[in-house]
Amino acid sequence: MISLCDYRKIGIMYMQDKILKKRPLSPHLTIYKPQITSMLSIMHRITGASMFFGIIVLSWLVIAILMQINGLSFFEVDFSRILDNVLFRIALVGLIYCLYYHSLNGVRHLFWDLGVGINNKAVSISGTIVITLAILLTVVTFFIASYNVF
Amino acid sequence: MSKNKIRSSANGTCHWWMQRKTAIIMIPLVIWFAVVINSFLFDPELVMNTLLYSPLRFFCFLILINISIFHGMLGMKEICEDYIHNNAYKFITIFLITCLSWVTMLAVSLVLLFNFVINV
Repeated sequence: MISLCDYRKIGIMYMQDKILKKRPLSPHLTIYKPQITSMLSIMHRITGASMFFGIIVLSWLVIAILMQINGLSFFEVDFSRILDNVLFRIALVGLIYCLYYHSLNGVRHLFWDLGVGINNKAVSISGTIVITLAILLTVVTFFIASYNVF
Repeated sequence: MSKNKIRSSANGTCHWWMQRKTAIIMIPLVIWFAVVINSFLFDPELVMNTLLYSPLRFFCFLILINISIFHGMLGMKEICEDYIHNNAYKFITIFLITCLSWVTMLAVSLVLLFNFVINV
């Protein structure tokens, strides 16, 4: 007869064995074959998180600029040096890609919540459409921006 | 599982439903925003000047920025719950993200409204 305590010991031994032999634990992102579904899913989270931090930084930048314009700041900062920086523009293009991708994939998620398009074929097709459209829209925006920015 | 005292496990449906509601509200706003930034050549100064000094655009922009920060806050909470396994770090991170989001929402709304009232 094996008691509950023994099960716990077996569990701990199993985990120790896994950790000592460096076997992969639950999220098998590193060993799974990359598939369009899993890649798009993790990209949704990555783009969402980067947009969150991007929007916070941009909000505080807008706050600082407006404070200075309205004469509420204690010291003068030359914000045009930040706004005209090439790295800032590249970050903006990255954020616009995140916006396009996250919005399109978000619409796909909303359709799934309604119960539309949940089978292997439809998911692959809609995923391909989403990633293609997002890259295409970003290229369009990049060319529009390159008129006066780059 | 029921011992888990994370707020979303006590109140998960509300969290999920708020995320969907904010997403649905943002669909038309994001399309409008994309059209605006593309039609003003993706120039930050030009885009800001058009968004901040016309009443309808300013109103839409204010709603968009607040709802997007709120939606981002809910999403970041979910990411923290999934990927941070240490309970203490998880609660601290979620608390900090919540504070940062609310402070940013409040500050950006106040400053934008102040700027609008002063200049328009």
